[in-house]
Amino acid sequence: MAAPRVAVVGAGLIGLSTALRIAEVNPNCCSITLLSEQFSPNTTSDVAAGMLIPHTYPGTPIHVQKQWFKETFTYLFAISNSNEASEAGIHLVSGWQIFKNLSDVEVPFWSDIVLGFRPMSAAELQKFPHHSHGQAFTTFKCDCPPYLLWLEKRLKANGVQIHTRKVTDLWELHSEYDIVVNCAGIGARQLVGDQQLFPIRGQVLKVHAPWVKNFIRDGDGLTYIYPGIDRVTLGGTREKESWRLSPDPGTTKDIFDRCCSLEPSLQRAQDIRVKVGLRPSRSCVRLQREVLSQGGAKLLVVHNYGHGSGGFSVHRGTAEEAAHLVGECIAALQGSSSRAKL
Amino acid sequence: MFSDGVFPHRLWNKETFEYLLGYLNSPEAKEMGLFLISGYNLFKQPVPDPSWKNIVLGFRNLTPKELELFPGYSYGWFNTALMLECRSYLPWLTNRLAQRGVKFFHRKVESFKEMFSQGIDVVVNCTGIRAGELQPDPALQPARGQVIKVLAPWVKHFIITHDMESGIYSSPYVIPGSEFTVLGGIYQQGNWNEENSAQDHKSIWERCCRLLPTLQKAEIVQEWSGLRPARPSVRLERESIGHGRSRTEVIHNYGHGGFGITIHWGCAMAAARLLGNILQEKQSQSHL
Repeated sequence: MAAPRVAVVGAGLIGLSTALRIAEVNPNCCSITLLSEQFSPNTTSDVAAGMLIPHTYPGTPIHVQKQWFKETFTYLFAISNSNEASEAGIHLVSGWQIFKNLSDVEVPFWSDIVLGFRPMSAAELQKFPHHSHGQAFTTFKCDCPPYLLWLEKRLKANGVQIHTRKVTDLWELHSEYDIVVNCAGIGARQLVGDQQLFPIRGQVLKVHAPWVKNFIRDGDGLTYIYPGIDRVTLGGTREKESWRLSPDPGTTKDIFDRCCSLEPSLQRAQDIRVKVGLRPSRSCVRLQREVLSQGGAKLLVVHNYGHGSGGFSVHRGTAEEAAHLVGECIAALQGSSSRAKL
Repeated sequence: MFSDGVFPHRLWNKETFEYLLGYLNSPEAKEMGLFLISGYNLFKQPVPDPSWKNIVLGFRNLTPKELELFPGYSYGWFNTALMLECRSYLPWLTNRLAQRGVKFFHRKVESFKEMFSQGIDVVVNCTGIRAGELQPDPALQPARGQVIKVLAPWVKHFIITHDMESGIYSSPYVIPGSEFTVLGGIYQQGNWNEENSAQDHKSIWERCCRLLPTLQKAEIVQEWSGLRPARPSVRLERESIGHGRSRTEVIHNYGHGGFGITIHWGCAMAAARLLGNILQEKQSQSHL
């Protein structure tokens, strides 16, 4: 049987990192093509700050999420220690997560994976007069577009073909490909009709404020300041079921004010750019195989979408699992083709 | 940051840190060049905690995982400190002085005597490395440093290494500023040369790139050499020069080595107190 033809749909963080992992795990035994309507800098991933601070999926066991995060953290740790770090947009950043009420303070499942996690001291908390408790730690930030462009470069080096193409129905790929990996993010709502997938709209500001070196995140998850390579991301909003992609000026002012109350020096921020992204939210990441068939024809599908606000934190872990599922699909195809020879 | 535990350096360090912390959340902070920054002090063997551990924010030892970021170093500290960029701070101070009616003269002062003859009552001597030209001071010596300024905006932490044998500041360090990142690690006692040295450049570049491989991709923007006004301790004291009607009071405030910014405000307040004493004395004298 000819080498299985694999198509990965989606060129956001999940599509690129999944395609890369498939290429790394299955070198030489399949051809991989990446298909996407949008590429960096126009993906949802480009809007995100890319901070490695996990979101908790209610529908996934904690030990699985922890494993995904650990794999991702370890992967980025290695990149950040290499001389590719700046090209890949991966950098360490330290900072604080702060709370207004003691009752909101929890030790998260990921506290032993990030670096140096500990409660903030009273002296540190003096910077935040409206907050009473906090946690300090060091983690990674994946700046986009650099990280996505770096992944694209790695894909090409691994022989992955990349095409701009809008896929409206997975079945349309059945004659050209044997296995399709669905990393369409929020696009999966239309692509596969998943009603459990819904957007959580996030508006952010990306500003020039290079003196801000530490991250600050309110434990409520709504207000955050994440310093990137050239810009600081100020956020944000979490608007469930909103599909609105255009920025809202009232929201811009509100975000700016909230962030300035945590970091007054941001009043001097320059060149404010407003972005909107729709977090592809789901109670759990859809990470599973499916077989589509019509008439006598079959198409093997691996789904890897629905990462919501936690995509960056678990991307390498879910890519690993998706690559494993693709391996199973390849084995299944080879098994059925040798049966066909009997 | 290295006060050597010498009193009153530690007190001045504390006073300066607390004074600046008070400005952190003010609208002036950016104009002052003031911001918080976290980072690492790295060692090749365990060392006792520094005298300033309770002055800075969030001081702690490094975890084993963190030390994996820095091969070759087996021990270290993490803390959050303050950056005060003088290319912003000096103009800010100048503005505040001008607002208070302080006059500035661009002039070379040849001697304290010159000051008496102009009717000056008190001279505050902040002449740094050149203090010896006004009054010989063998304890004051240059400690030459050289730095390379690069564009590396992905570096968000300071990294200061320590080599107990080569001594302070001669081990590589990386300090990110608001625009440029400074690479350094040169400390040459007794060297008055303000020209950049190619050998020092090579030493800084190679050692810093070994410490932080991503620096290899950083664009070099500037190179600079300067003379730290080093002294076993800061000279902060009064001296009466001349006698009778041509007596002038001098308050010395120089010899801050490589930690002037770290203790400047504490020193300034101490100098101001000395001035206060002088003014009180003059007042009570004038009543006689």
